[in-house]
Amino acid sequence: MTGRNAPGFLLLIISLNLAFAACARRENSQPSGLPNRVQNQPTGAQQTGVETDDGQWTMPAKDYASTRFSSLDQINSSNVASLKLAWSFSTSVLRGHEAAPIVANNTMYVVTPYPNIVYALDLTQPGGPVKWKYESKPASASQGVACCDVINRGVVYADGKIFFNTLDDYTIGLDAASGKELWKTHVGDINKGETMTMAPLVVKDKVLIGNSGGEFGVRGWLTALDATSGKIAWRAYHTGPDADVLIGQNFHPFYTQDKGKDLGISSWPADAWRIGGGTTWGWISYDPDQDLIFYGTGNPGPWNPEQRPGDNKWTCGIFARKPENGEAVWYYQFSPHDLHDYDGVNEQILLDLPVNGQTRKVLVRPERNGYVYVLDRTNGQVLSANPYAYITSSKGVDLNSGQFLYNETKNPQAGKVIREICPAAPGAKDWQPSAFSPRTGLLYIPHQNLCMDMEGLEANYIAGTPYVGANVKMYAGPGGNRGEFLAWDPVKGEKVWAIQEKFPVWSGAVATAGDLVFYGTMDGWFKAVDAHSGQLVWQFKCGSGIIGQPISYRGPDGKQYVAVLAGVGGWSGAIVAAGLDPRDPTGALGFVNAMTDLPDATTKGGMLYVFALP
Amino acid sequence: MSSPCHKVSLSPNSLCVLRALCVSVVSEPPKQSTMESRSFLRRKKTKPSSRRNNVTVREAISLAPWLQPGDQNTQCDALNRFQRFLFDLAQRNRLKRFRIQVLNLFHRAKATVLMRSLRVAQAREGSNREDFLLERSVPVLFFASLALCFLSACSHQTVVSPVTAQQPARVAGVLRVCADPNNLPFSNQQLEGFENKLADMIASETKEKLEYTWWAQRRGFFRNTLKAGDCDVVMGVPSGFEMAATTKPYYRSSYVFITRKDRSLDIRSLDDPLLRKLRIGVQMVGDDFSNTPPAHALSRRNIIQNVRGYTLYGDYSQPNPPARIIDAVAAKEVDVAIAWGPLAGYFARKSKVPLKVVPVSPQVDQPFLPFVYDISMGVRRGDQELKDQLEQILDKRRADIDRLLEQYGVPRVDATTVAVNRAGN
Repeated sequence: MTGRNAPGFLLLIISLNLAFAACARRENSQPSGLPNRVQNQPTGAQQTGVETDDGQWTMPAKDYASTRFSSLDQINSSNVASLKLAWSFSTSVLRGHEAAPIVANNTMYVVTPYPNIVYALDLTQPGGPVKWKYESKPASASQGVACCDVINRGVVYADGKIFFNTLDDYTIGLDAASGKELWKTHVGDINKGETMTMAPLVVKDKVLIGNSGGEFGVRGWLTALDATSGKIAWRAYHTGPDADVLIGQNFHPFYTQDKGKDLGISSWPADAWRIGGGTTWGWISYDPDQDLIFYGTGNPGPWNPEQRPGDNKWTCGIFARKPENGEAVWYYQFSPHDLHDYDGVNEQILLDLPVNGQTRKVLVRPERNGYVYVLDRTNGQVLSANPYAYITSSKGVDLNSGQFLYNETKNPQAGKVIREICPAAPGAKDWQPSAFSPRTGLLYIPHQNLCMDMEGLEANYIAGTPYVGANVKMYAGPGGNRGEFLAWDPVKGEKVWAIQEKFPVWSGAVATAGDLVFYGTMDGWFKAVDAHSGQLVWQFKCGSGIIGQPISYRGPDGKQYVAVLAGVGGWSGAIVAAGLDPRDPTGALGFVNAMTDLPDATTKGGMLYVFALP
Repeated sequence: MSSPCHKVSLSPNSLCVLRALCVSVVSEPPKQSTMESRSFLRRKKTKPSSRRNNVTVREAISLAPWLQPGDQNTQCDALNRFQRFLFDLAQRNRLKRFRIQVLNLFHRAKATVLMRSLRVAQAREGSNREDFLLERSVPVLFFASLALCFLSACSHQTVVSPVTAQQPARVAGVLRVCADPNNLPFSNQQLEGFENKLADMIASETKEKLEYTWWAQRRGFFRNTLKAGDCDVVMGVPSGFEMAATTKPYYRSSYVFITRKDRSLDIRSLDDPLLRKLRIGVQMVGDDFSNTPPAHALSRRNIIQNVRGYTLYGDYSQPNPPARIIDAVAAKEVDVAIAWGPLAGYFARKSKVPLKVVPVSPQVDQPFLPFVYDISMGVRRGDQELKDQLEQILDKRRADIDRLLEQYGVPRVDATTVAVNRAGN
């Protein structure tokens, strides 16, 4: 709705660091003039903060603006039909592979799910042989603690080092050339239910990481480690007193409901904040101009809603912070007093967007609750929130007050049957990240179309204690397709085209300057579609379902490659990866019911696939 | 077999399973039946056959008298009363076996779902798919009506397919037990728990070698142990538990109030006004939409601000993490805690500070929240042989098991105390 009168997406400019913005502009003016891209100096000493688009892929989101856009255009809709498998690599791990392959200095880095093995593959040699392998050997007990399969969302490369998290709460820095362990910092405790699944982000000399485990009474945090020493520089909690949340003089949220002293205590029943969740397991973006990081917080826990009256700050919202000291600058809460497990951890894409005739610095967020939010990233004001999925659980967002308007008839209540809560607990979109192309001005959103019923109580048993649990069953929303891949116009705030998929689209996406968008399906098809029309132009059947993040890079031979990890799993794929019994529809928190036919469609197994033109 | 049954007429928005449901209770009392007639009970009696040991009385019970068109709470209320009625019926007639027939269901698929939801073993004799055999009927009915209560709406029921024969094989000569290595009084790796002793007892009866698969009993426990085929029996699961085939129960316990004796608090009911003032400790499971019964019951009474939560998971690096809530009472962190009986009974006994343990009343809170649970052993679905074997041993060693539970301070409730407590409400 905002910017509906605006001249359109041609004005879109990715708000990146200067160097990359320059590249992008050049491409915009010369859409086909890519082959002679500047070959950058050796990249080993580069900091990600000043990285140019040199055909590498050093962080899962590609850049600080989280565009997942590759400016490579050798592969385009006229030749993609001849795209072929160049080589492949088995990770030897069978669980869900959500990581993005990372490419730097002609080496590809891949981290597997538990047991979190890191492989460095030599791209200068035919077939990408293993250069080194690092086994982090996480405690096997961490598998029993992790809530939703034992995935890992990737490593990050910066300044000659590789950083990643392990399921058992270590952050590890490796020498990118040799695989030698530089430091290993213990940042959480699996015995208290904390695990780590997110990919770090490196900003300047800080490695930013967060924890998982809101269901287990973990208190969520974001932590910065010194990239050189691995020492903890600061930690910001997401519940509790302002001092713990790193809220100080410079905190200026836009809306009144987010203003006040120690809301992280007063918006909870007594002491409930101590175990209140609000973990960080999704994505962080960084705006070098403002010197701000942006990231979301997870659902409140482990209480169910009726036992935690209040807004439950600072869960299910987004923080802007200073990377040096973690100081909070603004905050906005997407789902105050979360009722539906709508974690606020999704990716935010930083764009400069025309809004009512003015160019605004915004962040665009396809949120779990089913709306694409456009926020002014300088102050946290909601400029628009338009639904991109079928929603019954809420009625919208009040743009004046910023309040999320719940549909009370769909509020879960203990002992009550509630039907057709849409989106279901994994949201309209879970962790799987979108991509943005500055050439089309469109955002490409992989997501799911699921509703849930909460019906009945069933006897359950944890640690020798019987209790009755709500019986959550998920199923396809309207249309009967459980997944969808859609193109979204962030200026107009509306859907441009959509591809319906049988299963939830649990993979990430990558957009390229060849005007192609790549994504994968849970039954194993890796697809390329035309970025303008959504027309399927190429597909390849991988050995296992795809829930990973595709990337595109330029090899040492100057050719453009597209790579993706296959290996089904994750929350949605747990039925295959963990061998859950499809006869138990409430397995994996009710997800099994929606996925009973997945085992017929795919089998498990982690494998890297790399594609190129012949 | 085909007992007549009311066509129950409810308003269109009432719940379809209930509309279609008729339950026929075929009881087999140990002695001559002394069933009295009741106006709301339509009865079709078969003549007792004097040559048989078991006298069979067939009754067709319509749910109609308990069901009024209305909102969810009214209907659950009604089912709650229905359950109590069956309860009384069983007690009065000293019934040990029930056969329940569910009639007039819309179609068989629904019957299968319902059967599973009733958490009742399929009758082997008679072999009608709609027949369920209830042994020790009362506890099971407890769950039966619980399930019914919430099964009560009709769309989106998943059809549960029949159990297939694909079963991980048992290892000959070995009794493989899945257990938590760090959770007294149930089990630990030092074999100090009552479930460890029970496993010893079973192994000595089956003359098998005892082996353990250790795994923290959290989300994924059954998936990673029993279902993965790494072991064959879990010593304690709630009767009728979805993820396993359960034996008949070998004890029934209750949630309890735990207080320091020196506080002289006499809290017996969730409706005690004192609970609005005291600091109360409860445990939480972190299952998004559900929690432990006391957590729900208190929040329903709007008792929230004075409640302190302890996660059931606790800190697994400490011994017996769920026991922190008992320590909290002793240390005066909270005035009263509400916890599952076996945990409370055992640690109250071990506590240096004298603690008082009192069963929670009511046993079933509204709209339908049980505080009393039957505990069985669990085997993989389809492992009938082991289940039968275990049940025989449970019968044979009944006295030893009772003694064992007594040693560990497990508070138990039986049918009699249930009745007494209910009368006392």
